[in-house]
Amino acid sequence: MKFILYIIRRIAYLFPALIGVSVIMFVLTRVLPGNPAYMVVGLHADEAVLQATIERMGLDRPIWEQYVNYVGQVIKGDLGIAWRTSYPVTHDLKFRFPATMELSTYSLLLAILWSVILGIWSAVRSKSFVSKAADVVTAAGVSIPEFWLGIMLIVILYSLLDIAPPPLGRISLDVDAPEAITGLYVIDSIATRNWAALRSSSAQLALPVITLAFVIGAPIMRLTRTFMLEALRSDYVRSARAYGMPQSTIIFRHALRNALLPMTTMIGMIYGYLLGGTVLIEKVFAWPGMGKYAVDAMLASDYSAIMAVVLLSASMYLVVYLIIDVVHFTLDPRTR
Amino acid sequence: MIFASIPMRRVAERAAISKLFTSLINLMGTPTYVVAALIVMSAILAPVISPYGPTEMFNRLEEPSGNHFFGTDQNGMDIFSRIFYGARVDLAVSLSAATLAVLIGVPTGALAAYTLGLFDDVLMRIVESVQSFPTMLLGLAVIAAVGSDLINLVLVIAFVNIPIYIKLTRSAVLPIRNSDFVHAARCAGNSTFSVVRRHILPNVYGIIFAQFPVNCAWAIQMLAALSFIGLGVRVPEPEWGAMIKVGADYILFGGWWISLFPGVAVFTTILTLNRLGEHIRLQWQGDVR
Repeated sequence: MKFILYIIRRIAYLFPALIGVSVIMFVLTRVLPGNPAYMVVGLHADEAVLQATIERMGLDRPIWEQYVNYVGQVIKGDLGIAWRTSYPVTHDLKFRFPATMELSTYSLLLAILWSVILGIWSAVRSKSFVSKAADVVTAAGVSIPEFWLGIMLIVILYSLLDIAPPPLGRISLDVDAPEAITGLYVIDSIATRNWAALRSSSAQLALPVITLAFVIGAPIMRLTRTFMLEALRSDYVRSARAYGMPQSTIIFRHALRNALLPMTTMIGMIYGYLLGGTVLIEKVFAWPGMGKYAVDAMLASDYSAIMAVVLLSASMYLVVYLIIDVVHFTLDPRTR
Repeated sequence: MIFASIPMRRVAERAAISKLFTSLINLMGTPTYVVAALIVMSAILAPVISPYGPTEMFNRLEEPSGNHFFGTDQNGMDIFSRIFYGARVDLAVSLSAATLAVLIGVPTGALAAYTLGLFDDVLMRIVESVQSFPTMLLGLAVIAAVGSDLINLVLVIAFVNIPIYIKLTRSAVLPIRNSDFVHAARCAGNSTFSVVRRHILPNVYGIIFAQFPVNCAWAIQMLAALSFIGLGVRVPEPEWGAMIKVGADYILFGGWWISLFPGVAVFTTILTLNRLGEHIRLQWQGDVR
């Protein structure tokens, strides 16, 4: 019962944040330079047509009225039409979101893999060579601009060594995209046994995923090590050692379990942030995801598209946050 | 006991490698202040050090050579000189943005934590919604709306950094707001404002000082990223992110040097600032103990 109440209260908290985000964004888009009516009718349309378009799009109304109308539409599931692409925004996002999701999910998985292993290792053997090397690697990871790292990987692995494919999107131009089931190319091509598409899409994914995984793994590794060190120094680990428990039990059953809570928080936050659009990496690798869509929409004053992307990514972030809180609530008796 | 099964020779080997690494890291560690000073100096002395002006034009796309240490870009401008002039822009923007964020965020956070109640509640909801924005998108939207001159860039980067200071200060003030010395100050007849300013804020300076360089690093990263997207500083103005962007168009054709060197500049500066933050944090923690 307490649990259900907690979840209800937590979901209720989402709305003020979402309303805040949408209001800020709505006002911002309305002050973007460039009248979007021109984008629809063209620069040389006559005055009457322009006026009619402005009225049809509701741009002559006061801004609060426009906002109320917009919210009404969103509740009905209509995100408007992207003037730049002339498709409904929902249609555009159906292709963009899986692209970003594919990129961020694999990057996160790879990041967790290297950073957690290295974090545990360097906490357990805190004076070892590996631990010191890990220091250097993570200091670099948190300081390196990800777009520059991406460019340098392209220079080395594509331009110089010619191992990687050209950084142009999700799949090579001469390979057909796999039949869309989930929209995630790798999973779709496995499901349809389309090995050519699988090979090409994994190859395209490799560099951006490595770049992102390196950058986002660094803070995860630091956190893992900090909390593992703390746990390993604690009284309960000392007691466990005194009981003669094997090292592996102490590390994984006792210490890691306690480090897991802050780790899930951070991993969740990073995932939420990545799903909001990995703007820079998408630009470097010409990845047709949400980040690139948002930037293009912004440069073209495409109101509905910008609003939709920002709302979607803010919701993603807030929902991930919600899930983290609920997980904590169930895992950690102290939060109850 | 763990190492009992490893032959002694390998232990010695490992110890040697480990020692080498330690000294390497120390080498990286000690001169943090020196490197930081060098970076600041090279920004100030840019006109003296750099062999050419930041927008002087020579042959286009020349590889690094004796004439042009870091080569020239697609406009024929000398990359080596532009990096020094770029340091001026990047450091100036990030320092002013971080300073502005401190000046607004710290007092606001302290006040919220001290008074709690409605002000704190509303503020926290606002902070949450600003933070649930993808930072880059927020920055992009604001810059697209207000235009990308340097003042606007400073304001935008400061704006997205304010929540960090609000939360940081708030979390540092909350545990001490009920301390005896705060009550004493209150009983002595100080106003809320003066309690916060004279009695509470001095206790959080250490955390703020440690956060500041890290935040500057982050501001540089954001400025470079905005310029890289094409919404920040624009060529011919020398700025590291914009220089990386210019190079990005030429990497497929073998122009590796254009992006490489400005990127190294960003990387080194951010690394140095992060380490500086770490040093300050450790020192301050030492004081407390």
